[in-house]
Amino acid sequence: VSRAEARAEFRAALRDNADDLMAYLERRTRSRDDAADALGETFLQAWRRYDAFPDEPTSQRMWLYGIASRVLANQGRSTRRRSALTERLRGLLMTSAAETHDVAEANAVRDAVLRLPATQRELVIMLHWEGLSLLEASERLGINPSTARSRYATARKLLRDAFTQIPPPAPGPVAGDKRPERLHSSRTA
Amino acid sequence: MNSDLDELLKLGEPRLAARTRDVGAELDRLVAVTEGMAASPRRSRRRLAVGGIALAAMLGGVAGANAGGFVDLIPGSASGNWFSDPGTVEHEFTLSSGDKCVVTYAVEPSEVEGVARLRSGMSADDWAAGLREARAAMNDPKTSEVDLAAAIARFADIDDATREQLKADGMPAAERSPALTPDQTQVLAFGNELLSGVKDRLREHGYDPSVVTIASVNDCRELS
Repeated sequence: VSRAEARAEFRAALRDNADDLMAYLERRTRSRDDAADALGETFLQAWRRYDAFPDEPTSQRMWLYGIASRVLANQGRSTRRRSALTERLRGLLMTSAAETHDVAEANAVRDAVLRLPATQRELVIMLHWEGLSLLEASERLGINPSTARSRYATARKLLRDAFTQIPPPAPGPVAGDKRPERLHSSRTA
Repeated sequence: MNSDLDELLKLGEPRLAARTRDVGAELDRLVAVTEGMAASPRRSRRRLAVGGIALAAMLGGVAGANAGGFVDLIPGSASGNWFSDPGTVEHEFTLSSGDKCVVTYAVEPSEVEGVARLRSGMSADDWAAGLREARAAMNDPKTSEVDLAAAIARFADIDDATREQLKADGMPAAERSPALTPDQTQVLAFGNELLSGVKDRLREHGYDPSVVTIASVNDCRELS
């Protein structure tokens, strides 16, 4: 395979996985802006490392998710900065779906999930937002199912504690306008 | 309780953006653009290597722009698309864990052009020339060869002074950035040194140093 062909294959693999990667990032970030930025960063890191791209499709997919995961980990520790690279994508994502649910409460719930320790957070996202079973999630995370069960139980306890701090939605048609209390400071180190 | 919890989690499930044709086209563009951008740092590395500068050049990442605290210490250090800018410097750091990681620094405008010019009264030509000079400075060994130990000492002084000032200004402790770790400090100190060098050169050549700042990105898994 020539270098040009290898790059073309890599390009195609990125595109084939782009939608799923975007969904992966949307579920693990606080906003579509963050998800769009993380996708741009993931692509760029992938290109810079593409010499290490595996041959086998399943491994390729896992390799890309591994990069996305590291991007997220760094994004969480970082000061937010918006890249012009993804400006247009951010705009498209923001206007592509109307929110019809109670946005404030949903954001508070999502915030609580995203503040869980990483190992528990992944389980909750996989089980509740990606539709995996506990066994599937444990396989994907490479951990024993009993360990997954224990972590999941801990995650539920932490979430219950966090959710008790979310005030109930205000009555009436403007419930979505009422912002919940902040559960914790969102400041990151 | 469990059902309440499950209902709340369902409520919190992110609504994925619709994958419209426009979004698909933008993803195509993103793949292509990042391919081109990824080549840029390699050119930068070659240029630095030719100059004999001992900057290790491994993988440049874009994750994790400035480490925590940078923005507090160096205002205006976060924005813009610097990746395609020619003036970049990469440095490989040894972290406290023993791991190595590469941080890429780049000059970027400190403000949107129109805002900067309105504030300072500079012309569009001066603004562009200042940026060009700043990028050239990044490629100058006088700027990019950094004595890290000295840089850390200087940066620690700035950090201490900034924190004292914030305290004196009455900012609550909870709102101030946590103390920087040694790993964060060395990365920020290096960037601060680059920024000082660039600004010195701008002053020498008669340009407004406030036109630029330094942004950094890294491929560090941990920056403890």
